[in-house]
Parts: sequence; C-alpha cells; structure tokens
Amino acid sequence: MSTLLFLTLIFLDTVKAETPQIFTFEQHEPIEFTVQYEEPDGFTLFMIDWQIINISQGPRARGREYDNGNTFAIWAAPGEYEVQMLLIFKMGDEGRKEKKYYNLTVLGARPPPPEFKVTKAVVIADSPVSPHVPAARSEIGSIELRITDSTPKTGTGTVPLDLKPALDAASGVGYSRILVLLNDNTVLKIMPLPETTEALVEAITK
Amino acid sequence: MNINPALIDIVRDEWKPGQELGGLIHSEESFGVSFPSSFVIPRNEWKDRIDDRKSKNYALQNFFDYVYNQNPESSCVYNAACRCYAIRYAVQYGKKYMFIPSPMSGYNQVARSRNSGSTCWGAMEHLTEVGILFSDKHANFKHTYQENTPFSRNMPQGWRDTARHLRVAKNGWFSIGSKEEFASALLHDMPICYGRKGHSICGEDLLHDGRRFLVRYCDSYSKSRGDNGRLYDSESNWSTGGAWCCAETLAPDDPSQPAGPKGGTL
Repeated sequence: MSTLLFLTLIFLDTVKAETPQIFTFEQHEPIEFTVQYEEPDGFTLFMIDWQIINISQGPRARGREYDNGNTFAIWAAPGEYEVQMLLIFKMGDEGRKEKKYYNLTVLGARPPPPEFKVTKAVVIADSPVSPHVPAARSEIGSIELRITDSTPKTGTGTVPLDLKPALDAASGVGYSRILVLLNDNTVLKIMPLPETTEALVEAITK
Repeated sequence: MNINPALIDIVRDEWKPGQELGGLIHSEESFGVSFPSSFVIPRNEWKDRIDDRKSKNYALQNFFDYVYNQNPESSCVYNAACRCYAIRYAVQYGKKYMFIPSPMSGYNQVARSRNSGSTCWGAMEHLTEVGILFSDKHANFKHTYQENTPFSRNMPQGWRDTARHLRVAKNGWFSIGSKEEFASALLHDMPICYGRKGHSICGEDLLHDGRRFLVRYCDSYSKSRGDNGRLYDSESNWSTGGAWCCAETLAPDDPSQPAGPKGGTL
C-alpha cells in the first residue's frame, strides 16, 4: 500500500516561505505525495511541478509524476532528501505561484559501496595464450585466473557455471582474445587481452 | 643449461618386432584433428621463445610435479596420456587445482593383459570419449583407482559417472605431423604424448643446450630415472611413432570439484 500525503494548500498572492514539513519513511516503504488544492477565485491551476533533491549526497532517489502531476511517486535509497512542489495558477495573463518544501528521510543503512575488488580473471581465446597468460598467476596472489576457449563444455555438455558469467558478458564484444575481470561471478570489466605478462598483471591487479 | 649427455636419446627397448609384450603398440590409425597451421611457430623464433620462458622461470614440467611409476605393467601410453591431461588442466585452471589421474583406470579398459600394451591413438580416443578416474592418493573423491600396478579390471560401481567429467575436450587432441608442430605445441603449453620404439612418454618442454634443440620429457618409471624423472630427446626422436598434444580439457562447473558436485572435492 502506498503512503498518501494529502496536502491542502492555502493560496496566497505571493510565494510563501514556511518551515519545511518533515516526513520519515522506513526503508522499502512506498512513498507517494498527493496534492489537493482549492483554486483562488477566478484562477485555474495551470501547472504542478515536483522535484526531489539529494541532500546527504551519495544515496540516490528518483521521482515520477502521475495523474497530471497530482501524485509524485518516489524511489529512494536510505538518506535525506528535499521535495519541492510548485503550483502555478492563471487567470488571463495574471499568474500566481506557490512553492512548498518538504524534508524527506528514508531510514536504514546506506547502500554498501560498489565492490570493485577483482577475485577472478577469465581469459577467453581460441588461439594459444601461453606462456604469457599462465605466467601471470605467480604475480596475482589469490586472484583466480582461468583460461578457456569461447565454447567450453562440462562433462555433461553444459556451459561451465564457473565461466558462464564471463562468457555471457564477452559474447559479441568483438575482441578476438578477451580478458574478463570479475568479483566472484559479477562482471566488473571486459577488455582486449593484454599482450604481455606485465600488462596482464597490471590489468588484473590495478 | 647443464644437461647430462647420458640422458639424451635414451630409448627404452621394451618392445621388439615379433614380441607380444610391449608398452606402445604401433598403429597407422589416428585420432583427433591436425595441429592448426596458424599455431606453428617458425623455427627461427624458437630460441627467443625458449629464452623468454626461461626468463620467467616458466616450464611446463612445473605444472605437474609428480612422476608415475608404471613398473611392472606396460601401461606407458596411459601414463603419458594422463600426464598430458593433468598438465593441461593445471595450465587452464592453475596448479592449485592439480590432481593425479589414474593411468590404470584407462589402460585396464583397453589392454588384453598387464603387458599387452596399447596404441597411442586409442588412448587419445579413450581420454576423449570415456575419461579416467583420480588416483587413490586422493581421499575426497567418490571414485578413485590405483595409479598403476596391479593390473585389474575391477572398477568401482558407477565409475563412468565420474570419468565422464575427466576427459579431454572434443577436438582437444591435435595430431602432430612435423617437427615444427612438435616444437610449437610445447611452446604453446600443449604437452605431447608421443612414442618411439615401443615406449610412450610425455613431452613437456622445448630446450636448447647451446647447439641444438631438445625436448625434455617425463618418463613413467619414478623420479629415480633420469633427472628427477626427466630425460631428453633430440629431434631425431621427435614424433617418430605418432604424437598428439593436449590442447584443451573439459571444463568443470567448479574447478575444486572437477568430477561434479557429487564426485568429491580436491
């Protein structure tokens, strides 16, 4: 169920600055802002504009307007944000606008930083890569280094699970000999295979 | 490099024409695909490549620091073929995943008796189509078998389920047709199962003794033979009785479980 905030606005002739209202949500709780308003005499609503601004830097949020702007849905990682709502009314050539600010806090730990540590390197080549590729093993510590052609098979004829993420990622990239760097089975980087042991070690470890 | 001349071109005379006993049975039949012409390294580059490997302290013999002892069986072909398989697997996945295959688990499927011997091409086919088991030196695998003696056909029930994982890939053996291909295979880390005069061995590294090229091979009569189990062949003994290099083994889902999740762990 979405959390709906019904905001009844009092229209003024000028923009009114107010102390921002504060709303707090649990992590993963759906967030929707919905506005209700009364049009000033003779005026009609011309536009509703919403924005969400990241205050705490780092966490990310996105918003999308629905129902001609009457509803603003937000997807936000834990962190602090400011939601801005602008209403514009028109009567003939005369316009009135009202802007409101809301502080939004999404509880919970911040998402962990992306993991870029290489734990496995897979060399995919249909031509010989020795000795410069296997020679790199002595220089890369505990990082696993696999050497395979482009169509390896297990004893039961399937694509090896150990190599599948790298093979999938490398499919169609257009290099004849490919180096795929992974964290466990998450692909971090794909590049042409370096031509020397030293360059290969640097690509894997730097 | 210092190579004992007494260890060059020593050919075991196990088999003589007319004798039934022998390790390597000569055959005109073949198996596998031809060594790709694009992989051939010109002779004038061999020395530089050898020097490059030496500067990296890199040698194929280091991938499988284990020497079989086939005595008293005539299972040399399967000792050489299993060695090729184990070396190539370690090249693909690293020495930490090295394991010792059982030559007897293949030899006993094709040999008529302990001393009947076998053909090279037959071993290539067996390691591709059927597969082999781990040595019983490994404790954590579901199916293991004695490495060599005694000759026995009493295989553990269900062994083929394990053996099918431990195979050379389809088209993973390249037949060697020239001395240029022979040297090129070794420089590409493709160990060679070859034979001459009734005995089969595993070629590991191409060397140069200052005046000629030599192949360092590993025999299968323990580390007490030759230089820690290794001896040397000059070009006159390269590929005279058929030769195949191992270019690719089958790949596991998990290298620490080469026989599959139910086959045990290294």
